[in-house]
Amino acid sequence: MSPDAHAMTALLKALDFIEDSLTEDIKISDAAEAASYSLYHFCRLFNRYVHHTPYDYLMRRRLTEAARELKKTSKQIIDIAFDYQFNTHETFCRAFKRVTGMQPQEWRKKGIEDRRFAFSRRTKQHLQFINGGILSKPELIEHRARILAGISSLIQPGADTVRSLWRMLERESAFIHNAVQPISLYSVKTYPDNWEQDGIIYMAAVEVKTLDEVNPVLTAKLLPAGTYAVFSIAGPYPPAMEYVYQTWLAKSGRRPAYPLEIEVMGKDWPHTSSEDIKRKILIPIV
Amino acid sequence: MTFNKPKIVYLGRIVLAGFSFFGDPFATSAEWTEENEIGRLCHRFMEYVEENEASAKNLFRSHISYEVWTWNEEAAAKGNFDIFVGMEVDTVEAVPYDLSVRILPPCEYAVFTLTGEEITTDWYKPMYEEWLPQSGYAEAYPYQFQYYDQRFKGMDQVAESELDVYVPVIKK
Repeated sequence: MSPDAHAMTALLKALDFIEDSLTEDIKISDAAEAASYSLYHFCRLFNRYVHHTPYDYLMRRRLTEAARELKKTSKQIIDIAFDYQFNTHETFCRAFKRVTGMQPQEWRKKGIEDRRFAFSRRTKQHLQFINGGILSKPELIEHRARILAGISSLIQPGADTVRSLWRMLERESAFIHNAVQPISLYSVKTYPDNWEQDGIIYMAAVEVKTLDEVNPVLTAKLLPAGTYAVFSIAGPYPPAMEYVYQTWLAKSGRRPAYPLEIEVMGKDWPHTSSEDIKRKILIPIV
Repeated sequence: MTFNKPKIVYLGRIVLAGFSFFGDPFATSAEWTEENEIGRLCHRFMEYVEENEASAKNLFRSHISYEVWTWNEEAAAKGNFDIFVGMEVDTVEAVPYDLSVRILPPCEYAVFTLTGEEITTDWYKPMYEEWLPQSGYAEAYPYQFQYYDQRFKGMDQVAESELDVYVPVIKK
């Protein structure tokens, strides 16, 4: 077994151990023991493979599950805090606010569970993604407003319309005379508050110079000017986005300026390419 | 089915802001009810307008809504239609990131007024296959829109409703 594969196997054991112990009184040294590493070596490897310290990981997992229980049950806040091993109401509230931006009470009333941001359990797929060298550190770029033209649809969870949107756009692309050159294909996802239930707005598009000559069969969209975090990735999409939202954004102190997720793919039509094509993910941030 | 003769009107550029749906609108319900994807789309749009009441007031010219159906090859091949539901705005620049824009070019339209139960019949076929070929006009663009003003009372009150259908045309 290569050293990498060995480390990965050991860390997965530690991740399992942590997952089973979210409501137990454990120390990081117990997780190191589960991985059969010294505490020092464990912390070093954990950071390298997971991009969180073991303690930060444990806290985020506990707070995510606590947030879920606040929504799903009517348990007393202090009982949930004790269950997840917070000794006082105050330490729980402070930690909770740091990751959700709200007090537990407020979260219970007004918070919206959104799986983009809920810190999920890290799996082998995540570790392989993070360590595959296929995700760049984001660049922060100031961008002017952009005009996109394409095909858009409300997409219900599980619907398989994305490919037909791209097929349609490919057919129509011959009639888009004012596209910004060289052509870049954009996928834009807009997440309304209740998207997990009602779906997202998806758009397959190209950037155009003006709205004056937009072909009447196409839909247009204005992307707001502002600061965008730009990630270059190649590889599967879901672990990449979990990393972007739950690790990078969560640790950066930034938040999305708009619930938009933009993918720029160059000229490779996504419905006919593999998922390994290089692309950029843009998240508007403040 | 016979229609009253359509009026021919010229309309300038129309800028709409709203939501799109692409796919088979009847995948969830085959009935002419508000339960199908078109109904859901309209419902989502109306909900958006209500939730953003203050900004919507400034953005939209009126409460008249447009339902734009666009003809494409995916429709013929798979029954996937492109439907846009929105209301008119003055300037594109004011449209927020979470709405889509549709710009209809200046052109002449044949306007058919549908009354009562006519609304739920297959009016598309007689318009395009019977009226259009003998009208002296051709289809100018591959879309048509339905214009919902105060005369339309809702799918549950079709009998008391009226609806205008606009077909973009050009003299042959």
